[in-house]
Amino acid sequence: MGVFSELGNMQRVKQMGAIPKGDHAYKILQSPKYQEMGDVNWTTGETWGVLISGAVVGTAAVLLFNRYYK
Amino acid sequence: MGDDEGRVLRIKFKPGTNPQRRFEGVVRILTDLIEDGLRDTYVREKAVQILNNAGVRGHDELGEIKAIARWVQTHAVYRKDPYAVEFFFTARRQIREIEAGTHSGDCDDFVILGGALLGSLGYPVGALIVDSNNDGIFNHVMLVTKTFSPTREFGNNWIPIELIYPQFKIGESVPISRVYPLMANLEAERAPVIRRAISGIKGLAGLHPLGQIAGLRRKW
Repeated sequence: MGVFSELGNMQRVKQMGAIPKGDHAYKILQSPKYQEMGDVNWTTGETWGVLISGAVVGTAAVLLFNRYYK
Repeated sequence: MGDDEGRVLRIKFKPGTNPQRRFEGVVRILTDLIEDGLRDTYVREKAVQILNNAGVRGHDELGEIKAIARWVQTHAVYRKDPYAVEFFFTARRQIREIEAGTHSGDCDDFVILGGALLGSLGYPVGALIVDSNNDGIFNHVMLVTKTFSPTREFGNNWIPIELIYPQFKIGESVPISRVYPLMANLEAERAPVIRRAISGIKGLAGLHPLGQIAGLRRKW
């Protein structure tokens, strides 16, 4: 059985015709911590790693270009 | 359908592997396959065809989301994965199988298909991994998306979509105690996740550049 292959507690649900439904997931997603989903997260090391690495590579490229082509 | 058209990914885990570890190992594959699918022109053409057939007018964002969700709910066929094995089907393969009348997939495949179709129409999409048994274990996955313009029904909020049950409207879900959203990155640049057979945790680690440097290789 796969990781996501079970849904709902069948002992509670009893039968497929009585699947409980509501807006549980929707309400959870209204929490402020989920409002920024999909946006750039500036607090991660990955973001800053990419930015700083880009700056370092860019600066090095300019310095090397100036040294060898001026 | 042959395996050459829309490769199936299969992840085998050793017996006794912690469910949480299995979960963490496979969730990224979901969004990677959504990202691959939303860039596929075949998927985009199918999405437009679905909207046209449903008579959705231009700029009707909620109408587009509802039409795509409805199409997946009523055309994809839910079948559980084999014991201890996780299959993933690309969106292209699933569309072809639906058209051929041979489709089968579980909730993660439905999310790959729905996410790719909506993503190909420009909507932000992601996989919403949920705990529907309130036992601390993530056991199900839904699609999550949102409109760009606020709507009367959902405002600017993220909208969870249950794809495996046709009787669920968008925004509805089974009782959920915990969620783990994983958003697809529409701008991600990488090789498509196809033609890979990944074996267990080691295989997943081989997807990462550091894993490959460490000598963990994918099976192609």
